[in-house]
Amino acid sequence: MKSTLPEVGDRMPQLVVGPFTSRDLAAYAEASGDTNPLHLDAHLAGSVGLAAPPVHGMLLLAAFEPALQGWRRDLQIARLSARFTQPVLEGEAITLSGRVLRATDGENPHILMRLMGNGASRVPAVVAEAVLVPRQTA
Amino acid sequence: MPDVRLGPFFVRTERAKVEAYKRAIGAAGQEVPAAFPICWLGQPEIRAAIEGGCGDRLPLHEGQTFDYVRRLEVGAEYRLSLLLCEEADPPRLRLQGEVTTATGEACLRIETLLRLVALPMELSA
Repeated sequence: MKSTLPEVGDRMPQLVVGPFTSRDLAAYAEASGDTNPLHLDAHLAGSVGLAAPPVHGMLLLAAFEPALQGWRRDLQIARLSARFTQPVLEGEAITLSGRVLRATDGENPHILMRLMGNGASRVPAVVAEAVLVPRQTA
Repeated sequence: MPDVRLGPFFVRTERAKVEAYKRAIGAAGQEVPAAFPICWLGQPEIRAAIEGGCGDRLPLHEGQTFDYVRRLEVGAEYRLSLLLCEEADPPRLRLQGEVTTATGEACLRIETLLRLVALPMELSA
């Protein structure tokens, strides 16, 4: 079936992920190999001025993929790029949202999306963009 | 620190590791998640090079990009070549990676930006 691209301005439904527990952070550290103690050691986090260990930025960024797939299963990520602008701390949740900035049909159809991950007090913690293309089936 | 070229490293999308990663990020489905290649940076020889670049500073993940030419397949082997660059102001490590299939076909580019922060005195000894 031919994929119909979303239109400029279309939005991915907002999704709240978390709150992230110390167990979530430990599981991510184990699965990803990112054992940076800052994410696992409250004392170390406190020594750099954080009230709790920060959630791995990559755990936050990775959460966009299931959110995007839940919205448009017929599309897949061709590019995913992010800046981690504010820490999300253990015990906090993040609200994911996304909006289509560009939709290009034709020979190489794709959309460009602005993705935002807002932490506590609605402050942007992840500012990202994704290029999505029609899913290729094997 | 001069720019350092690393690899190519043999990297894999082992089913068990992909599944563990998907559980940790809350993903379903049969595919390799787009951000899965970040796991390869935890391989001992790659991690050692990154830690060497950090010195006694704490790395904070500031930015990340995955730019795909072709999606990865579960249970396959790939090659990862890395360029490690240190930036002075502000202090950062920039890792640029290229992933190819075992036969040299381009799959994706990775860029990781780590901000380097001085550790408090009591932790840096």
